[in-house]
Amino acid sequence: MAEITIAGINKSFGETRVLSGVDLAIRDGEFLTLVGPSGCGKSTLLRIIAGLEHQDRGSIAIDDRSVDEVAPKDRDLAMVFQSYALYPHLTVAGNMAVPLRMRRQSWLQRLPVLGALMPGAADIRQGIERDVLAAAQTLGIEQLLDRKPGQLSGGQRQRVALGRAMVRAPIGFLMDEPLSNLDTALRLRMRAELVELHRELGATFVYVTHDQAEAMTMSDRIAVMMDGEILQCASPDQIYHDPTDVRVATFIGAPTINLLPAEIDGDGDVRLFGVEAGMRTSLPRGQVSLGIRPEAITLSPVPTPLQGVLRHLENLGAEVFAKVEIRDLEERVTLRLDPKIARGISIGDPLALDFDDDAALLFDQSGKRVAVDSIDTSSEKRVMASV
Amino acid sequence: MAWLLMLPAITLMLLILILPVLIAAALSFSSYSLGSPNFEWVGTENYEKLFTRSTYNKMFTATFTYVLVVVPVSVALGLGAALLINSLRIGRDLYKTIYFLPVMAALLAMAIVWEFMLHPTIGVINATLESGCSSPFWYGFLTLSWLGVDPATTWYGQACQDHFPLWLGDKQYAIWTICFIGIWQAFGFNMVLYLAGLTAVPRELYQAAEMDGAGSAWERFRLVTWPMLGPTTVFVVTITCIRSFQVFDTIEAFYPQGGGPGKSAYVMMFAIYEKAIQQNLIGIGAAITVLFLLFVMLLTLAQRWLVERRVHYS
Repeated sequence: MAEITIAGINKSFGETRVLSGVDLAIRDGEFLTLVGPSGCGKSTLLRIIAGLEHQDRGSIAIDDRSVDEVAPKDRDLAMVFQSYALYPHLTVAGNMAVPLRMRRQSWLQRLPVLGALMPGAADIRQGIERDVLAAAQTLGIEQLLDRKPGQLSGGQRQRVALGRAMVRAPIGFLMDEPLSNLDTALRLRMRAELVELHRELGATFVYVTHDQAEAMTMSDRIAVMMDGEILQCASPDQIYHDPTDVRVATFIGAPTINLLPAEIDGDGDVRLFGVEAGMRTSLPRGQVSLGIRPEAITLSPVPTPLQGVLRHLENLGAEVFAKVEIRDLEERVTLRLDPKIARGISIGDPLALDFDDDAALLFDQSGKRVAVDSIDTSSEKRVMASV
Repeated sequence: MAWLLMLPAITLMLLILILPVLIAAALSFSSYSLGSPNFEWVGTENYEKLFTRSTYNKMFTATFTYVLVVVPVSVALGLGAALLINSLRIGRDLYKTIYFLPVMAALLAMAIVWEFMLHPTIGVINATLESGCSSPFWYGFLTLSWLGVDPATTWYGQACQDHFPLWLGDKQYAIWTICFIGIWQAFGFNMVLYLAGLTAVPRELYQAAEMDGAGSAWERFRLVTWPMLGPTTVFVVTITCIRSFQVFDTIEAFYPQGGGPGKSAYVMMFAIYEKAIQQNLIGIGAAITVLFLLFVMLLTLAQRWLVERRVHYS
């Protein structure tokens, strides 16, 4: 059982501010992912939770007990490192036994040869062997127990690192990009295995990654970090469909969300390329950006304000992404097409685009999300009969 | 074709390495001396002398004392210094330079300086030690009287009453003093090798050890540092062994005429030099050389075996 409460964490390395006022409440038994571009402070935050780094300000509590002055080994958390950090001189069994030996054996019993002769040593050793075997069986690596890490493949090392973490049944797991050293196929398989393992163990998982696909597929909740702050912490669905910040919207989702420059007129209507887009907001007159995901854009049979020329097609088999160059717009607009429709168009074709109002996201100039009311669901208004 | 390409290297190796060794091995079974027309095969007579005569007995004692003292102490000090320097935030380079200076200095020149310092009457070492006798604090401290020991029974108390050692001139102290200078000279080199080894230890391993429950610095050293330094240690021990077997400069500087008081510092290298060059007894000199080569070869083989079996983990 582990609820991890992070309150007002600040951390600087020299002059560089890495974390500024991070608050986060990680629920018991949750799979929470910290995701963000490299250098956003997510790994530092994880290491502060682990106790490997010390925060400048703020506090960490596990189950309402402040652990700020508690050594890493006494926080009852296990960590899986990106490099796996296996002890190269020990066998797989030896590696997995380390956390147990450090906890269950006295320093006398840990002595190389004499240790075995100490009273009670045999019982403890058997207990450790039993637990190591049990963990190895869970992960399907019992046939590797006698090997050294140097003789294992990347995926096997990954499992050993997991085994070493879970063998002592900690209350929480901290994972620092554990899959990033694996090849794509194995990474996909390990994703599913990790999620299953989480379900089986029921422990709290805090998972750090820069890969938004990993975050989306594995987590109960995602905390998107950028520039040392948590921008939003919510379920994958909410993060994707209901981002509170333009940076969250751009970071999550592949291909990236389309951001179109729009303006708000005196009535509060949103105008795209000077034409009312059928949305109303309470914001005063000014510039805003309209975020539309590629799947919310469709081809329109009639002319619309969004007109351009097809410049590129990306065929992924099940879907095709089209990049359309819009007049006066630097960024090309990406939309998702059904392969059947994509077959009918070719590079250089002029296209008119329409989008789903309900899926459009409005951001003010500082990048904060603004609520909109859809006032006219028909696209008639946008049809540029007059142009 | 391949043979042709290897030919220059093989020719050179044969000419300047293998051939001299073979000649030395052959000469060790003869009574040859340079310029003498007589050349006689004497069989294993030279080797028999090596293992029976007391001079050579002293040679082995001095050599092995030197190796067995200098190797462990300078390796341990080198490792200790490397760990301490590695844990520093500032001043690393300063300490590295200080400890490495003796390695860079010519040992022969340093030996002359040490000779002055160790001089029984005008040397700074005995002068310093003597000045402590008249200071109640230092006298009390060094004679361990604060532990309740009778000052007169301790080494320092005795020396204050009598006289301080002659160091290089005393049969009891000579080889240990030579060892001390050898350690002083060698450990800086070991320190540098260990520092290089330490940079190769991934930081994440220490953090993993900390998470796994290795709370104290000693536990992390046992779990991570020492095993990860295995290859370095094997190399450091081998190279220090070979260099210790080769000790010559200090002995030659201190005792140009014969290997110290009562031949107590008569090490192998000096014996080779004395027998083969000074006394022109090439045969016996060659026999010592062959033995010396044998030791070095055994060490190298042991290193190879260890490196391949034990300390390279992948």
